[in-house]
Amino acid sequence: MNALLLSAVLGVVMMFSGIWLKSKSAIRNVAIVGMALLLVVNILEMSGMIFFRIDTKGMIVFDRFALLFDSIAFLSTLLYLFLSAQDIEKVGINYADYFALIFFILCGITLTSSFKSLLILFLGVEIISIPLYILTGSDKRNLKSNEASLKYFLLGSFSTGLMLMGIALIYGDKGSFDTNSINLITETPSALIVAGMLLLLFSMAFKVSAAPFHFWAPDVYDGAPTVFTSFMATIVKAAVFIAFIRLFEEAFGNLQNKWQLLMAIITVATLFIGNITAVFQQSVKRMLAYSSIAQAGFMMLSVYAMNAEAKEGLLLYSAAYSFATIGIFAVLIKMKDYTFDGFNGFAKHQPLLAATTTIFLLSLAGIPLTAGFLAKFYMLKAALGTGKYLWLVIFAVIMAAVSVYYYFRVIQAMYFKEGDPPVLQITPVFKWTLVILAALVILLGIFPNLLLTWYYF
Amino acid sequence: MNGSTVIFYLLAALTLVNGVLSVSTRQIFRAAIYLLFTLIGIAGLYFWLNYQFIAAVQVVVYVGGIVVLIIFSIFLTQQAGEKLQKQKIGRKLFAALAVFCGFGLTIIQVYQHAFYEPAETGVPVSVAAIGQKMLSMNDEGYALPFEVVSMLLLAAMIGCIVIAMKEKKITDNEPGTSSPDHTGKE
Repeated sequence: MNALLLSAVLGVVMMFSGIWLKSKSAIRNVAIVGMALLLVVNILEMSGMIFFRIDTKGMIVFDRFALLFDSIAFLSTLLYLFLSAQDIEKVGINYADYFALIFFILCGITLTSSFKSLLILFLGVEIISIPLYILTGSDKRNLKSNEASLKYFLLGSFSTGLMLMGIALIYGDKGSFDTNSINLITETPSALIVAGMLLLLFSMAFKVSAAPFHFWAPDVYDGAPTVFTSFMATIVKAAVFIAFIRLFEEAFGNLQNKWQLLMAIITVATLFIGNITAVFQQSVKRMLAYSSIAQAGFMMLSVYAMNAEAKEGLLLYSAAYSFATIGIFAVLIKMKDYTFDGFNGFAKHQPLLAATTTIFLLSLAGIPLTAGFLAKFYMLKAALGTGKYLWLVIFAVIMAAVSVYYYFRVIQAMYFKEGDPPVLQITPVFKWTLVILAALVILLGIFPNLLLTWYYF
Repeated sequence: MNGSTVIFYLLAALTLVNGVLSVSTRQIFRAAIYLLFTLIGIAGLYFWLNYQFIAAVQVVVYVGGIVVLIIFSIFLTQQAGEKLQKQKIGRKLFAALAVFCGFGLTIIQVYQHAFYEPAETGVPVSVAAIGQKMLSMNDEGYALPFEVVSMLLLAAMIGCIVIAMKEKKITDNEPGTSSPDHTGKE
């Protein structure tokens, strides 16, 4: 509850700071301090200090899972602001409003991670989506950005419509939005419930860009300003996954044997399309867009498996994936040339940046001693734990091996090719935040319990 | 045939005739106006069923909002007075076939469905009851989602301003980004 209220208030504060504060660095500092405050307040709530006790009538429940994910999201956003807040300046003139929109998105994230009522899920997803449409199109002079925004808006509205239709059908059958009472389903669910569940499944799959609902993702991620791609491909995507797993565990958990095969098919399709298409990309930004689809495929494994390990694994995965991808995007923003060749000879000129980028890429590829390895390990273990569909696990491992190819292409360009990449100026804060991120990735890869103990205590 | 049935048939005729006209006219502006009357006819049916709230929403959202939006976009994009091209006969044939199939499917569904009288006569839901429910803090109230909606609207409003606000002449920007030819042409 702390974080929900504070993030909404901070959104308003950022809106006003755009009027009152003239200098851009002051606005930036307000945003960073606010973000740090949000993180602290949320951690305080995890240790039992709840400032606002509001009876939500069971519509929102802040359990450990939700609170821990919120903390991960806030920490990632804080690091993201340290790295990229200065680059947001270059997008357009509404500097403070971009931060306001980011805080509103975080507010939506706290809602979707803790909902118990489908109404709150819908509102949370919308609060996340609408600012994202705007952020995608915020580079107003760039036609690509406009196109991406329009595409995202139209397709996103369509999927929201599907979600609303699904909720209406379920309400029509059960007369309730409450996930627990929806889950009281007997052996044979009615046609309304099945149709509603499928519509919800499709719309959530769209929001996490799982195949075959992924078509918007590459264009939108490529067209959006890179600073905002970094935010929406990591924190927001992980948040929607948390909502996804919550929805299907709490509302449709009893029907698991009915939807599990469908989920497995979506997982396989997402892994296949994401990984194979990423291999053929020439631009690193577009490769990362497809890689985020591929990573979504791995996260889909947790929704498919839906056991204790899956939830643990999803938390670890969202942390590992967010940290690494934010880091790579932050480096990418500093580059002038987004192709693979743009990274030629990067290691000679920026050894520290190249080293941290290598750690992030290794983590995304799932090499041991990085957080990405353990995250993938948890996912595969969870999928094995269901005792069904062994082919799914084998396929996922093969696809992880494929992903090594395109991640290592960047490393190869950085270390083994000659070149002189032009790089924008780099501040010490940027460097140190990157080092902290890399350290976090390695630390979580060796001691995942540093994060996961919070889930239980 | 009592008065109520007569009113139903009148409303149904209004809806259907305007619906057919709206897809068959060759002037796009007229199509929008016929659509307006179709939607009013549907709102009338809701009134006839005594669903005042839904009827009011139908009028406010569809008749008042959506149709006006459609008319605006017609004026912005099309030459409103000009007639559209005549459709080829093959297209007409297939369109008629599609409509016929859809109609048949609906009819089959309606006849297969077993309609039955509700055990208890439904309580007419007044607009006041809906409003109280929406703002009530009781167990069945929806005060929290109502408040959350306000946040959604605020975010949307900020977004509109970000997108629509005119940019001032920027002078302190990097060279190249503010020039008009930097539009990412492919």
